[in-house]
Amino acid sequence: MTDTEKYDRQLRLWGEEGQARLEKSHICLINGTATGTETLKNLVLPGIGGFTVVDGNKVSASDLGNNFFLDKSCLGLSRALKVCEFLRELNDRVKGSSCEEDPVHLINEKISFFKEFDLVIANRLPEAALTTLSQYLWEHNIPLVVVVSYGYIGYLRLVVPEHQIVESKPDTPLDDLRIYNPFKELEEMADQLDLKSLNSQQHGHVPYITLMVHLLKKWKVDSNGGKMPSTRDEKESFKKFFISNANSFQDEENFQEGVKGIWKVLQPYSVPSDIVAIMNDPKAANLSSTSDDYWVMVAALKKFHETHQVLPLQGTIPDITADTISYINLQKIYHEKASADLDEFTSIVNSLVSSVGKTLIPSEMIKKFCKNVRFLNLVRYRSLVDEFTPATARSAYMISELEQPDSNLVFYIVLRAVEKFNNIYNRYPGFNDEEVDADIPLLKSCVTSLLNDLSIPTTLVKDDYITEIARYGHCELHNIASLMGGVTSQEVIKLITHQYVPLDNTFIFNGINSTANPYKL
Amino acid sequence: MTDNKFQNIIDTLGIDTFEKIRSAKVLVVGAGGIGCELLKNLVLSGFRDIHIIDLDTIDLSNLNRQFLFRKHHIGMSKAKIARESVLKYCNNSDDIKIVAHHADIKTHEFGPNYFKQFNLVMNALDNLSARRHVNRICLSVDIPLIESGTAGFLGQVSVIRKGVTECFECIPKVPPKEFAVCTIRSNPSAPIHCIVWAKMLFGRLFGLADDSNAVTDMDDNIVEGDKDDTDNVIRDELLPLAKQKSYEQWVFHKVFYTDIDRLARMTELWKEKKPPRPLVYDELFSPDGQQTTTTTTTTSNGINSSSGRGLKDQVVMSFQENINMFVESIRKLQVQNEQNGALTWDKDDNLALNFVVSASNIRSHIFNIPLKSKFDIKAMAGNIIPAIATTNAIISGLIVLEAFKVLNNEFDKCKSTYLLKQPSGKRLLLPIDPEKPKSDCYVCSQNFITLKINTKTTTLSQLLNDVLKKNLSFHDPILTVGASLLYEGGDEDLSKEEIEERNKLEQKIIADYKMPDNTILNVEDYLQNFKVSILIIHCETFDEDGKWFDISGKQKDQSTNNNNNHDSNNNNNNNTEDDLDDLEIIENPVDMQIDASSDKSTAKRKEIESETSDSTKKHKLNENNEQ
Repeated sequence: MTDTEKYDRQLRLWGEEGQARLEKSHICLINGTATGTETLKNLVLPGIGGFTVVDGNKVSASDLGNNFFLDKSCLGLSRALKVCEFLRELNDRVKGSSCEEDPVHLINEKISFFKEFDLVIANRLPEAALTTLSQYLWEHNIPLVVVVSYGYIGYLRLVVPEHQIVESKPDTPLDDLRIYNPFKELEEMADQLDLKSLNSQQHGHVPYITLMVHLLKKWKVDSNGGKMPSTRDEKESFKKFFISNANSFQDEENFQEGVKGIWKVLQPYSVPSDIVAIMNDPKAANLSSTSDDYWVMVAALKKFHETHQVLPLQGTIPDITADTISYINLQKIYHEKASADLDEFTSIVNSLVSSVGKTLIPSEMIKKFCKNVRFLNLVRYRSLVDEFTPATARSAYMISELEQPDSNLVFYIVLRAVEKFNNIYNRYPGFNDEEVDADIPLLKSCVTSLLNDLSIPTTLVKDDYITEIARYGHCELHNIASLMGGVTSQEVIKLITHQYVPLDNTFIFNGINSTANPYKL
Repeated sequence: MTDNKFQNIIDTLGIDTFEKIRSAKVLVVGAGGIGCELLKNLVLSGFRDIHIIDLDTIDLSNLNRQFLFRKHHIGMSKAKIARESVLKYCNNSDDIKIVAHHADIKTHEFGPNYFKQFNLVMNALDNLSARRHVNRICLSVDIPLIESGTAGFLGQVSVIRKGVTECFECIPKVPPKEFAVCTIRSNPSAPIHCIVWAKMLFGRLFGLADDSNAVTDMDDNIVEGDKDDTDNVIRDELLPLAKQKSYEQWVFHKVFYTDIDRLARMTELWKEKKPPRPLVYDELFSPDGQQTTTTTTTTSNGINSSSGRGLKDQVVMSFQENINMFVESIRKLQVQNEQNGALTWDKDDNLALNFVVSASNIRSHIFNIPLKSKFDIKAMAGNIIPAIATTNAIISGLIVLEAFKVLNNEFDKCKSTYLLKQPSGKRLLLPIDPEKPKSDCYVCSQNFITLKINTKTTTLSQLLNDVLKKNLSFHDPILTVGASLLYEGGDEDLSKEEIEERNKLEQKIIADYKMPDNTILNVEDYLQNFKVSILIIHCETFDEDGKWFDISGKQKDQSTNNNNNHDSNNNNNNNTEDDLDDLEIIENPVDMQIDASSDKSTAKRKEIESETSDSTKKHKLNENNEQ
């Protein structure tokens, strides 16, 4: 029970299921820099299952300057080992291990080492090794998260072939009330309403949902030839009619609630376009015994929709003005309809499962899917290879972004040029204070060559930025490292829990003016 | 090599800024989620003269994010342990001075004179009243303040500088949602009403004596009639008998039989719904204390599933389980009460929580309201804001970046930054230019408030406690009208007689005590170095149930004064609560929202208002949030 207490404040965000997923996950960190350590810190605290730090470096003086968890006694010792030791102190439920091998060597010689992880966080890897690793992880469908803090600048990139989200948890989900297209039971309930027979107390406490269904039907039959209000005039006219049915609009909150949401209610029912796109995905059409549960359920959803032209009902109603009995009755018919939809949906899922020869999907999972069906989400990331290869790079998009004043994308270009620099000179620009000035033109030529490869006009990257980055001399500031650690771990949690929609796909933080932008590269 | 430990910082920030960091003296208010991260970031950014203050002690539920604390620190001072841990990890600890105060910032020790010694104050607080308090002191001594907060995945940082930016109180915070007393006492219709009731009952039974707590009178056994009308009064004769049997039986009988029976007899209340059903203790328990009956219960829809760690708290307990828990927790709390004196309710105290869970659920059962799980009740009763390490890390990083600008006196570059839950409108962080001070702000601009209140029924005590202290966050107000002093607080030098005299004074009706309609009352608080004039307008009817006073920062004549286009079209925000219902917050309000759907140029902080257009999507951000 103590775990529940310890994790209480986060369970309220991602629930037991999210927590269980975190606790099952084993995460690999490549290089225990300040950024890497801070990222893992924020994952160890909420209780991931385990972590492994891969780092061939020894603890240096600059580590002591920016890594909170390393002290003087660590100097000269394995950074992987020491970082791992300190992180383990934070949470005794989390298993931590270290690997003192050089990650580049590991990637080139024993890449299968990375197969065991649920997610890999790569920090300060040369571009070639990073590309190799990303290809390997891509093939194994393991999420890769690349993070760097470089002076005042932070860079984050998520890479996952396909990320499925059932619980996207939108901020202000609309209620699934079906006032526009009431189901049979709701319509029958509304038909029975006889406003004239009610006393004033009762009149002011008919749930607005019932009122609206009842009056819409009446209005369209009496005044609109059986058609729903579609033009603005028709909607206005219905609104007037609706209000005219109140005994005293000022005093009847149920009528006021009805008017408040009237424009939303009068929108024809439609399935959100991203849900339509997911239903039409080839993966839902071509099921096999190896299909993910997600796609089987999407296929079932498609069938359900083909039959009914609607999605399964969510079945909950908001807190509205009503007397207790009407409210409970209304709640009951929504609940029963949702249960019936769930039963039907479940039987479609089960028949699909048996027809393709998969094992049964737990009913809890089907229930969760059904409940969140309007908020399904799917993110397919671009691979790093596609991004890095000039022929497939999104040059036109980058040009349009770089043309914006003060675009933060310029730092992406310069940081990639820094990796090019490192590849050529085997060191980072400005690493030695005396060489900063000498390194600036060298870095500039790397920028130029990268821009040429990408067919981006070189005028789009001003020299100031190149000088700025050279001045940083490959250093990590703790404060930026900590902030990027926060951003990165937050996205990792979204990926692991499959809740909320993660960033797609690149994030640049600019600490000079505290701005940040996502880019789709 | 340790000499150039900060070489990276010098290279990136420049030597001038670095020198300012080295010589700056800063105050961090709060050593919780943000406070821990912030302290670490400050020290590793070169700050070496830091005061940190927090009155709280470490709790188990802090450990998922407050990384300077371990299990063996539970119960110890947050400020002191934070200081110890940072110095332990940090390499040049002899070079760094951290002063930790395990204390309440709202005390005389930390008045304006204390604040004057700092170059910068950073708030890492979790409550509105302390935020307002620090805001007022910083304004009065003209020290820059960085204000911050997080709630779940959301967060926010802003810089407050007198005369340059708007202050923390320029945007009125939505007052806490309060329920009408009659809803709580007589006519509950939602679980939250029963939860509020149960917390009041806790205070009544185990807390300090409090005359304003009218939840029940334990010895009053009238079920019908009026005690002055001796002929027609009907009393519940069973109550004195129950009192003789045991304390828990007495309480149970009183609140679930006598009080309910009285309500059930008020037939006009139950014309449209089922009347409440009084519970008979002996029918639920056989004489040997064993339960005899099982009663069917209404449970909230659908949460009765699967196994898993911790799920116990998320399942709705049966009615009988609630009964057992209620009796057991009363027994134990009574022992605690006898041993330790008055108890205060704390959501993280399991016994106190069990009491509220069971008492509210039994009351819900009686009134045909769905029961709730312990997990849900904890959130509703404790006003719990979700909190995680990641958000605090991001916000603390942003605070330090603003701190650099403040030390450089670059207020033109300071931003208010909002952290959004997921990239919305293409951004995760939303930096906006701070607003100018509002010309009608009663704290930083005009020091004038209009208060509408029933001067013929309100007592001085209500004015002091509910209006001035609770709503306007005064700590120790001194009241004057014209040249005459009406009220002064403080206990230090008063004799017993003088205190009694003052207590008598507090019971006076304000209209009878020099504050009738159209009075200008001056209120001053030395601790906050803050003074405001209040125009009292007599008013007898208010537009919302349960509301009994209304405060506006604007002068009486709003139309001439309101030339600020920021919110000119939504002065009518009487409907605000509709948008907040889902939060069911009891003690402190949601007070800031971000309009995330608007694009870069128009994005700005908005005053809470009722949703006017159907496409506007709002992020709610609670100020009463992470430390």
